[in-house]
Amino acid sequence: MSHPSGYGADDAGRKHLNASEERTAPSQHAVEPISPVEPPTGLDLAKVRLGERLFGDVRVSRGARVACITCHQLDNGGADHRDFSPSPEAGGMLDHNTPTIFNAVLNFRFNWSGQFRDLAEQNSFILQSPKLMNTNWTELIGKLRADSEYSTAFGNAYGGPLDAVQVLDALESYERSLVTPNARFDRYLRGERDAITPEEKEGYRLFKAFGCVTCHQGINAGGNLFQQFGIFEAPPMSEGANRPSDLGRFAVTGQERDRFVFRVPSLRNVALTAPYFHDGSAATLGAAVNVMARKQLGRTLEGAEVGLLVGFLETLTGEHFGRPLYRPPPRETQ
Amino acid sequence: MIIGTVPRLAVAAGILLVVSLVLVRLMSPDPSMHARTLNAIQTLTLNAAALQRDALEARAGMLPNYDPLVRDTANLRDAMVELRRVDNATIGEHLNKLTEAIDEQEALLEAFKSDNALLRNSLRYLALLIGAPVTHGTGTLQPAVTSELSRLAEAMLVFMQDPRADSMQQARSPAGQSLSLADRDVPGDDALDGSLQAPPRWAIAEAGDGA
Repeated sequence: MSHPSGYGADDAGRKHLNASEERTAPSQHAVEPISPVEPPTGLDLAKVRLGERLFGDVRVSRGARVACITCHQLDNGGADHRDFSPSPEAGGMLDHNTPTIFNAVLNFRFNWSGQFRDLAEQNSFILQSPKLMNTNWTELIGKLRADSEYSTAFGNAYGGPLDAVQVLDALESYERSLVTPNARFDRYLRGERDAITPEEKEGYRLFKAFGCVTCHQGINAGGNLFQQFGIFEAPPMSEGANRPSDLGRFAVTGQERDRFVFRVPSLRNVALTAPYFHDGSAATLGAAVNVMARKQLGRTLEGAEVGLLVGFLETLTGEHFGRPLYRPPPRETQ
Repeated sequence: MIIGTVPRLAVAAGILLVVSLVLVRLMSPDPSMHARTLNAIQTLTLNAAALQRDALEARAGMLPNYDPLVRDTANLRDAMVELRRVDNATIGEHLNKLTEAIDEQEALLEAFKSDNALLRNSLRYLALLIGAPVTHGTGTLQPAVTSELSRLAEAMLVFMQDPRADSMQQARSPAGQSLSLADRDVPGDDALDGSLQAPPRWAIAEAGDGA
């Protein structure tokens, strides 16, 4: 089961809280609402490699037209730079923007509606969804067992015949490796005072003063609670909303209180993952900041304030296995 | 009484009953199963207590972020998974009830986190609002508006101590005119007023529980 802490697991694969240790450990960043990402620990590299291979293998989809990496592109911030991703298996487009795969393991729930509690549950859904991979376990396991390299690799990593549990575990192992420590802001939190500029510090101060940090907090700068999108202004899709994804958790729970409620997204690497929001409606980070200020704070920001906030958000870009994440060229706006 | 008295008592009672049943059931235990089960019980009790503590701290503004609440909940569920390995119909029945209570508590916890985040947002924004120079573009402080902001701050402090609907009404500006939206020197005060449009869901839940 995924735990949103980046902590290593014990021998049983679970994290058991040692309350006294965690709460008394000294830390420079203990009083800040955002805490730094730790490098992944407890990874089984053989399983990570298996998961990486599956992640990029189109055979996980029925028609062999799409793999996980088709939408979760590691050189595009873990997403695909599109408003909506295509659905080769079903035709047409999906009805939501692809969230980043980086640091996904640090979220408390998965996908925009927070429908899933753990990665195995989500990945199983994705593999079997007609709009996504459109396969089933009988078909997929058959394909993988027919590949002698997969059979051998799974046998070495897990023992026993290749099965669904192993496939899901391999994918999860790989996703656990997709965390991005060493962002400049994380280095600042650890005491490297010059890791961010004075302007970026001012952007962080505004981020806290305006209250953005009350939702975008924690190790993932978000990702650990639900919140309504549209507090002081109605959500842009409230009139004539025709996509289930626009309704947020309401589409999953059917409860009125969940209308337009979404899992708060992480802001880590946000500078790399345009366009923004569940519908990709904000083409640039500045536009997204303006939308959030209006809808969540009831405030119209000055241009200088937006610039400072964007500058701070750019300090949340981390590294993957020691290499800075690639920044794609800006998308052309209409 | 942050996240619902009834679910919290149900969780506590459920834990006590399950602990008792398991300890009796495991009079002649498999040592490995015994150790894992006792560990799960310890995890359950520790994290149930930790959850209450962390929720109180979050309400008081002392918890920097919600990650501890997420960990507490995840650990509770992990412990429940472990306890279900005990093959006993009676214990299983009580574990089902305990799971229902944990589910109910988690739903209230999520509502609390969302509403508490909005409350914390409002308080931070209030501090920003009060700190903003109120000049109406004239270059001089406007005593009437400054006075109104002070009244608002006082009312918000009262509301924090006693988050009921009538306390919320005290925090409203009488007519709103003195804190006009048109006044660009007083940024978005309607945002703060707007945040008081409805009491948070956790306050409604508490009022309903009679807490």
